[in-house]
Amino acid sequence: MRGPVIGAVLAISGPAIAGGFYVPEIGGRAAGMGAAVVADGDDPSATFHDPANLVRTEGFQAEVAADLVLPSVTFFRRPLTDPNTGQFLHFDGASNTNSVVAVPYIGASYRVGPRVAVGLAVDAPFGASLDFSPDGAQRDLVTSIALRAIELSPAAAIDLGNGFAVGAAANLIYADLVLDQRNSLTYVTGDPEQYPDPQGELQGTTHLAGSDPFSIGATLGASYRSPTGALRIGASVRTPVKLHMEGDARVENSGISGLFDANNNQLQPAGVRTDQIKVGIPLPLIARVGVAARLASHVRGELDVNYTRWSTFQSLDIDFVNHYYLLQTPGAYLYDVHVANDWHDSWTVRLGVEAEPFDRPFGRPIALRAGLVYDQSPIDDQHFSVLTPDSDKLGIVGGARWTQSVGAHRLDFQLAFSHLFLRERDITVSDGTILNKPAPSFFYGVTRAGISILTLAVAWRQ
Amino acid sequence: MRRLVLATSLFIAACSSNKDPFAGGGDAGGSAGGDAGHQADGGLFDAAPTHSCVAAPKRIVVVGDSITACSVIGGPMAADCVSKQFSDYVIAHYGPGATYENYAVGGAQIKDIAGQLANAPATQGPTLVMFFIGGNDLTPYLTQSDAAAMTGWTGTVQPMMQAMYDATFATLADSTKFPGGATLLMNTQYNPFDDCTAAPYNISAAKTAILGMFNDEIKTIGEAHANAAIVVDQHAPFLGHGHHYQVTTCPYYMPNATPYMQDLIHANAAGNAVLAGVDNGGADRLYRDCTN
Repeated sequence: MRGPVIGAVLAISGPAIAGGFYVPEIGGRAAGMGAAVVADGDDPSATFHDPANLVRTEGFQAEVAADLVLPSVTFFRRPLTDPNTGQFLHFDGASNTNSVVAVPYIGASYRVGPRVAVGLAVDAPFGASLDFSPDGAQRDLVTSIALRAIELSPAAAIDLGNGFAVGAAANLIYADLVLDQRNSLTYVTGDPEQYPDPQGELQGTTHLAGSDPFSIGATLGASYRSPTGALRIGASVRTPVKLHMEGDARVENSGISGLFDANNNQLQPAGVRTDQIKVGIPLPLIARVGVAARLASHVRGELDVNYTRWSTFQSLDIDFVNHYYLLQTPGAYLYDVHVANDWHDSWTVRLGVEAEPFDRPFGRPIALRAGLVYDQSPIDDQHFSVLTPDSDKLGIVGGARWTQSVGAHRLDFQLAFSHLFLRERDITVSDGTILNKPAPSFFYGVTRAGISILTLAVAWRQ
Repeated sequence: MRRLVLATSLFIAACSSNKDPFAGGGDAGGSAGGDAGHQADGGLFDAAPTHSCVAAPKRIVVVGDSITACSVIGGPMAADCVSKQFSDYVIAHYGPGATYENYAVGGAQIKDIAGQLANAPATQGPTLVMFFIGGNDLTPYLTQSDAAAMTGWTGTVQPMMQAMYDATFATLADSTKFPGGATLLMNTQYNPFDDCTAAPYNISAAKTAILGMFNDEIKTIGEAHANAAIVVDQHAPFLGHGHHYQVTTCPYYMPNATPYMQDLIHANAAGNAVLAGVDNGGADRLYRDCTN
């Protein structure tokens, strides 16, 4: 199921970086430019950003990069009064426990003729990975989530003449999802709002794991370069894909009854229930447009605008195949779970600048880069959850490239650092549910988050 | 540009501190919901038969399942817990200074009672033992056919009950384990579905009848050990207050009845108060309305 190329990067998983769980910081130059590279991206990562730009690359190029992502998320659940005991409940802040997540990228391009170039990339443009304490205030919503969509993308581009080019990439996608949370049978048999902080034997664990071994999408691109190269324009569209995950659920709770067939033969023991699951996750359409210009001698800048049709992610539906009972009581079974998202379409503005200040006989060995990003979150407060703790983001980026000549070839070492400031969420109104039942008090609270990304890349250019 | 600068400062402010915004106990979001202020019906056993008087208790030992463990209503020490209310009542009225020990465990079945009693250490006596058990043995049959449920009752649950009670009475008679003697207060099971076949639960009449047989078995066992046990009926007080309390076609429907169910299987605060009221009536029969 897992091919050798895909297998090479299976270790990856990244936190949600751009809106929702989209991660566009792919390639060393793109990471240093705030991903503003749709118009001016003459390297193998064009396969991802705008395949048309592959025709601007020379000879054979290859790049290996890794984003080291340092997420920081803290959820402060709002205190409340337990309706059963009258006890005032205060919750300690719950922070993610995973400190570094690596997101690798491998890409190559080759100019096969004067007007044609091809590319190949393995990247992970969608992902999320967060771990929390199993006893924290967020435990009923999530204790761990890991979503990753890894794609192998062959691409080709054609120079149409007069500065115009078009390109296309096929995105062959493998995806998987792991979600862990604590459970309570009282949420199944009763109203979660009546049990705002279940303890001890009432609590168990829920583990969901599924994968989609193969889905296919495409990225289509076009670009224009003026005769002098002073002006470049690029546009690309990534087609939407619906991931169809299938896997298993394992629900553990000491109160679960044994599972028996009609002849009273035990099928599953008490305390544990397993079932198969199906989960659908849409990857949205993404349209990107960029304009790049030479701002001064050896200084280039680019402004990009991205549109992401997140409105296709209206809900997260977890469907159980067998609907086994948990308690042999009417209604107490593994029923399908519907989580309303109602995400909105979002816009992102990216600004990047690159300068090559030092002139040497063999070229300009150093490039300095900077970027600024404003990224709109698709999630409104009523549907916000620490499960996907996304928020409007402001990002600042810095980066550099150092080139070492190797005979007639070049070896580029690239470094970039980004920090994304996420708008604080203070949730006082929520449509949040647990097992399809209104449970707003579990979502009430303040979430603070920030993400730092250190990108290291090495590129070989003929 | 001003908006951008303002946005920048807001973002930086948002990320500059991980100080708990709710520290100090203020800014509570209020109650998570609920309406738990109902009172018990009580007084249902005023006309119950009298019982031989027994010595005032110095220990109250509670065993059983989630009903007596009060798993979903705050635990065994919660004010709404039937076991806590019952022990408070007995201590206040008949056993000043008596201890309250609760060994009940959520999910327990009939077979688990022996282990729970074994957990009770040998200390002072006399002892009043109260338990509520059997619900987790019966519920598996709710989703099976009537025939399978009847087979389960006659072939599994009923024999297990007899064996468990035999073992229990033998344990309670052990004066090294229960110095000063022990008396057992046995509860029948309430029916969360009001002895009603209405949707959406559609509990068949045959299954309701099995619950009746289960409760009759408890009464029979209690009568056979009249010198050591008393039975109180939790079934009748719940009729009309279960999940069908608003279903006019159900046989025990009463207008404006108070609902007693917290979830599908457990009683809410009002229901716990009724359970406790019935148990308190049992204590009255043992210690006050008794005949020497």
